[in-house]
Amino acid sequence: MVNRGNHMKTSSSHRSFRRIGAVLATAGLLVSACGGSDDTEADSEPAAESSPEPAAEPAAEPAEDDTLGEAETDVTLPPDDDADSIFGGTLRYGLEADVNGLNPTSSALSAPGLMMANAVFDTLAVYSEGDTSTPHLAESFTASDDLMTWTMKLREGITFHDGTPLNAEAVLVNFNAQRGDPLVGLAIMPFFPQDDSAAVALDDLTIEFHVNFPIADFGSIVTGQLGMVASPTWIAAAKEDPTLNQAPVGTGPFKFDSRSEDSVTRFVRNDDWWGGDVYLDAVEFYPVTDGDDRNNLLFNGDLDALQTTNQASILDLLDSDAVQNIIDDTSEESFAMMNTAIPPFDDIRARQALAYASPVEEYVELIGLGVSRRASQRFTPESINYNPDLVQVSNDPDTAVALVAEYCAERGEETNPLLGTTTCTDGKINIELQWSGPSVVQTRIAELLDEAWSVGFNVTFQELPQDGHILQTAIGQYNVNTWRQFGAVDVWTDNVWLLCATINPAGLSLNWPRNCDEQRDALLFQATAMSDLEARAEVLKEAEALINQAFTYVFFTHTTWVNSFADNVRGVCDHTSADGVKMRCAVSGRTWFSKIWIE
Amino acid sequence: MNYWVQRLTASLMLLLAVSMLTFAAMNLLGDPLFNILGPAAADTKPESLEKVAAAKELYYLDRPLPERYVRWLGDMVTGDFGVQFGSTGQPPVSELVKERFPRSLTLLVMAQLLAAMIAIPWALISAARANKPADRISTVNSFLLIAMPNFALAVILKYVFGIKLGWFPLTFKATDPWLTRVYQTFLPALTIALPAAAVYQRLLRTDLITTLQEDFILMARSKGVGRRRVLFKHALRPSLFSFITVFGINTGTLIGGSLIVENIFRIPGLGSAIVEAILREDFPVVLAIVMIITTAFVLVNVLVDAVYTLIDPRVRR
Repeated sequence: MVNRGNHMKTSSSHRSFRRIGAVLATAGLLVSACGGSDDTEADSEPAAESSPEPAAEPAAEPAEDDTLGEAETDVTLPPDDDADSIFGGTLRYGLEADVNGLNPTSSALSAPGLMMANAVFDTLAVYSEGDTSTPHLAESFTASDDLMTWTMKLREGITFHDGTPLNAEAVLVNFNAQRGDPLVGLAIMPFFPQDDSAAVALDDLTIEFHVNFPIADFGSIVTGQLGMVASPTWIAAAKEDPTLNQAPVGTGPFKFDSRSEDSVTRFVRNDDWWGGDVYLDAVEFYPVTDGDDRNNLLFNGDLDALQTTNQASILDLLDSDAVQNIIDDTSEESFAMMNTAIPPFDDIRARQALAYASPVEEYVELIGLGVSRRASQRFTPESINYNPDLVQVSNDPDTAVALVAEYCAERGEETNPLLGTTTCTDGKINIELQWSGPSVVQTRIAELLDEAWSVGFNVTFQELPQDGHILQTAIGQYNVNTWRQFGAVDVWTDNVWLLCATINPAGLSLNWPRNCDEQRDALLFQATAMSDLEARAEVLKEAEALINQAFTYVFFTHTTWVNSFADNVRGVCDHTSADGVKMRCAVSGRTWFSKIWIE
Repeated sequence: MNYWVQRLTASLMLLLAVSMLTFAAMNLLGDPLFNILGPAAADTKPESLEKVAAAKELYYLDRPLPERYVRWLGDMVTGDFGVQFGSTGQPPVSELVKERFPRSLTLLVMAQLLAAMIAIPWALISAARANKPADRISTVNSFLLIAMPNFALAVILKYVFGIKLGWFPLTFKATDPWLTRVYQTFLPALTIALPAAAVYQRLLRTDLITTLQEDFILMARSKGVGRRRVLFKHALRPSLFSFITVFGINTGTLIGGSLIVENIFRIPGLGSAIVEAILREDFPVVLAIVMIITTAFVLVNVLVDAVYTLIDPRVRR
């Protein structure tokens, strides 16, 4: 359905990363990480916009985005056609972090969490190699003529690990549990009616979904967290005893075995998996926060696989002949994000000033190690949706200072509600920069930004643990933070981060910057209903221009995910859907396990 | 007897004072509701507001600070450390402690044993060859180890013994058998032990040199007692006071886990637990670990005093 200009490749080109943070995954979206260890309501219009929005004057010529080489899909993993799969063995997977829980209906599953969830849950649909959704646990998706009613039929005879049957009722339990969760539910809210008509069981295996606007590809919603179906028996038990969130029960190729938080989580083979043979005896996940450590463990044979966005680590991995690498930079973007609901960034001049003052070139060089591709928008240059006219302004302190002076002259005596100070002191705007830590990389980023922003801003630092950081952002208790987001394979599923409907003035918002633009929303909804990719791209380019002109984000780089496997790990990209369609090998750092075997 | 009663009373007063200060400090950090309820704490739906009210009542968050302190103290002395503040569940703090304390304890015991095993012979050799070339080299080495930051030492040991030589594993796996975990803990323990051994060695060497100049040593030597016997039987015991004092202080400190070493070697112990809890504002966990460390400190120092009386009968009097 959607081709983002596939830049997923498995090769030994030498690039490297730093992870900016992990993001909340909801509504079938790939999880983006908030400004964490990485390595990541008020739809009130911005006040006092006395200056007309300036055109996006570039500070300099836009830098070349292509630093990873030309776009290609070059799968250089050894072909496994002639090799006989071997049963047995344990795959030891190194992750960037651990998570607090593994319940897809209530846990904030970051990239590591989704990786673990992939072992124990199946999704209703999956992405094919061509980036289109294809049924998996579901047998079929049928749309009404107006694309506002979707009928999903489940496959017969599938049971959860605890023996509960997979049926329409089980899916409804999951769906309603996600809708009922304060944060996860917010992601679903724009797409479905609030009442029970959103999903109705027609029979034991058929559910009819009603959506609020035409959707051309409903299946893409259910390829991620929203599409993970957990045992309703377990969901009910976990509601009573939340500690059970650590012991998930799904239909997947592996069953939960044991978990020692921050040490190891183990899943063992599900011998009765409906999808066929599972070769590995077990998969173990080890949270190893330090990128170099993770690499050493892989090179030493203490791990068989790892995921990383750490650029220095990626360089080492790509230098090594002893590992196989899957590289994908079509996923998230790293950026600074501003809260437009409160001063000072409720004023576009302040946002513009921050953008002009931002050291994006230094960021790409020092944090991206000159390797991550510079980003100006949500799409990489290979994407059909890429708007070549857009520029991320930066590295122009003079313009920034002028804008700050204008802002402070007019609004300098107002209050920054977060800091409890006036919005300006000594002619500079007072702001708080928030990020997720503890993280050496994030701290270096903060220092880099502070140095550049200090021309016009007095910056206060606030480092928070990841879940606290997500929460503060969700409730709008920040001025500016470093974040990682977007990158959904099917772009319309990223709408949840942009729509006016996901702003809750009095509570939680998934539109993190709380920036409402009805015109942009209209374009996004229009694009969602279009199946002609070329025509849709033109609409998305227009929407992207509006995002650019709102100055809510200062884009830094396209995040690159690398999944590395030891030489003796086979079948990494051999996964297929239930109908035999070859699946996309990795999605935002997640891989699958059912077809993996160890030689 | 009077001495020990006084000692016990003083220790209890110390524990009480630490508990009060820590409790007050934790409650100044902010609103724990977000940590307990997660996003529901900020949600405006009626069911979320009900959860907020219920949480406030359950955890006495709407009560005055002194009342909350007394309730907490009462629970703590009966072994109930409360529950962890976490939006994905509130398991008992005691579970976390039961899981993590043995790892930190293993690390501590191994580190201190290794430190003593290295320090005592090292000090004896240095004292016997005081101011000779061997002693001077030993002095340089000990200061090198004392000055080196433990994270640097950890990285060096990991690289040499873990990666290059492959003698020790680089991972700690909490679900492995006990003996395997002890093996996995050797390098981290050595990281802590080496600088500690250097400190112990310096102290013990100095005390030994002083003791070796005492008259009774001269008497022993003039009676024809061999050099080795003089060192081990006559000089070592009276020289142990400083060593034991510092050994005890260090033991108390290590009870809380060595955060940096635990992080570098990925051992989820008490050290990492308390840092995570502070960042998350998980008050019950912070309070529990602080009280464990303080209690251990007090007990160890009482033990040190008791050991003094064994070493030197004059102290008993």
